[in-house]
Amino acid sequence: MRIVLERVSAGYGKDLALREVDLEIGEGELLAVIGPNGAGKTTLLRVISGALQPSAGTVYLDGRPLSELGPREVARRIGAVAQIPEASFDFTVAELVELGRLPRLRFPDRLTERDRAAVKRALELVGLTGLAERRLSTLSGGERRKAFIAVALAREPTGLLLDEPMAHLDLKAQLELLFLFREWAGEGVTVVATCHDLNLAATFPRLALLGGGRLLACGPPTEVLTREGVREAFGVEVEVSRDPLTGAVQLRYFRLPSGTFRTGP
Amino acid sequence: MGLKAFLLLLPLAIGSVLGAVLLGPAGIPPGEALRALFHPAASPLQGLILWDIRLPRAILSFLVGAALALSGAVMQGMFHNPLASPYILGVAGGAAAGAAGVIAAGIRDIIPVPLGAFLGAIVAVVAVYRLGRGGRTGLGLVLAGVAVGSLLTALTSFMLFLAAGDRRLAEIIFWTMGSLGRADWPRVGLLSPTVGIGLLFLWVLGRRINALALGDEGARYLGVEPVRLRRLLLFWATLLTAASVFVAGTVGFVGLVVPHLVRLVVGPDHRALLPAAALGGGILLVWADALARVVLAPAELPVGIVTALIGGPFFLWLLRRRLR
Repeated sequence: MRIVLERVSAGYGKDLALREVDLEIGEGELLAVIGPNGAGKTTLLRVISGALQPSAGTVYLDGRPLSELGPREVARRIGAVAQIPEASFDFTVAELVELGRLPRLRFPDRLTERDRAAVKRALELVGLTGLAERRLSTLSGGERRKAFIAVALAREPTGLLLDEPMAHLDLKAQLELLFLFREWAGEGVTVVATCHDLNLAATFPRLALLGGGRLLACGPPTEVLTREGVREAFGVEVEVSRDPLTGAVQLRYFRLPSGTFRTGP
Repeated sequence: MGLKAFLLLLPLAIGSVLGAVLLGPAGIPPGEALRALFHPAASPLQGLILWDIRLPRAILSFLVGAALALSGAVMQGMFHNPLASPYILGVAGGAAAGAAGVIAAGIRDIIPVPLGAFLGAIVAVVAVYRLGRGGRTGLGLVLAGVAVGSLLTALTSFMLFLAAGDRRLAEIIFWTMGSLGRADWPRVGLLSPTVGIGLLFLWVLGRRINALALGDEGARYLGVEPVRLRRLLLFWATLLTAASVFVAGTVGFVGLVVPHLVRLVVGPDHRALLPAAALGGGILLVWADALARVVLAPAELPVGIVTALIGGPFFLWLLRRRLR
């Protein structure tokens, strides 16, 4: 899916959380949205998913203005996962993931063989096949997050919007997710994820840096994760280096402007 | 799971209705009653008791219980609040106040009592919804429901007071305590399509009701418009409750207790939950009414007292479980 934002502003009441953002995300692209707390990362995802109407500007999905597509049409194309997804009833994993197929179902919402296959594949992709009959309350935090990602995948979307998908996941689960993102992008799915860990974000091919609701920089990690860029957005001094093995950008020696020192991110 | 529970409950429901038909103060032995049921011409009086009194009453009990449980299950599903019910949200109280108001004011020729009940229910729902919305847990709705419910109870009591001493009193008591004593075939004819169509309609929406459990934003991500869906569900839940109040007055606790019991067994998926809750609510009220008829026979207990005696302790048990 091709996502285009044209001078998009959005917010809650009078406060604008997003100001005149221009952004193009191509088909099969993998984009990490970074920035400090309150920079507008979540708002950006909400605007693209149609959950929040922009107060100015236009969002285009595959060339069509988002406002022209019905909520069902948008949900068929985009799978979105909130930062802390809620479920007020204790569904089984299978019941939950079936729910993710809802935008594709025709009246009266019965699952066909094709739908069942998509649900099964979504469970496989996140590695939860064995836990399909377990109730949500019995899952670990990481398993729960994967279950909600499977909800987004079950509709076979062309765009995935994930708010902090890596938060609270252990190292292996983070890596597995990163590899999955690459796989999906390889299949033409556009993946947009917010990310607080800048070294994890550095493994994405393209980054969008937000600060105060504005798009400060957008491009490959080498262009966005610079001393000056990070200082401007986060107010933190960093040292930028390259990983000798992978060539990936690495940030070290985070320091507050007041001069206190600490190692690591 | 859903189909299995349904197939298990269905014969139980039919058996319950038949069982309730065999019970009664007329002292007809079960064997004779069965014979009279299938050959009413052989013993006209017994045939009359069974066909025109007991059978419509048992079926109506079932339908009222089904309507209330269905309505309660939908309310709990749409408000994400396990304590929501027609009773808690003031719908039943509004219907009773509406009916009592029409009777007490003596304007039933202008506004028929059922219409009064329905209007009362709508006013109560809208008031509770407007006053109590906002917040994520639905606690506001429960509190608004308690407040509006008390107000309506006071109004109904006031009208009872006004009607004291004349025959309107007994009629208003019928609406506030709940009774199936007025069961007849026309009432069965009124309620059965309402419950039937309501169940079918809500069951088809089952997946979308499930989607509401993911929160408003979660539902939107699934292409479901939560506000529109809630309005539609509220309409059906109100209609079902108001219809049940029209034929039997306000019977409490069925709409609160049964969905929980059924959810413990079939799980929270509304496509399984709604049909099972309808059957479960029907079965419960059939037996509650049988008890109400038999315990103090030949006197009859208002069925609302029986359901409250069963439902009250269960409600407390539920509360303790959640507080733990």
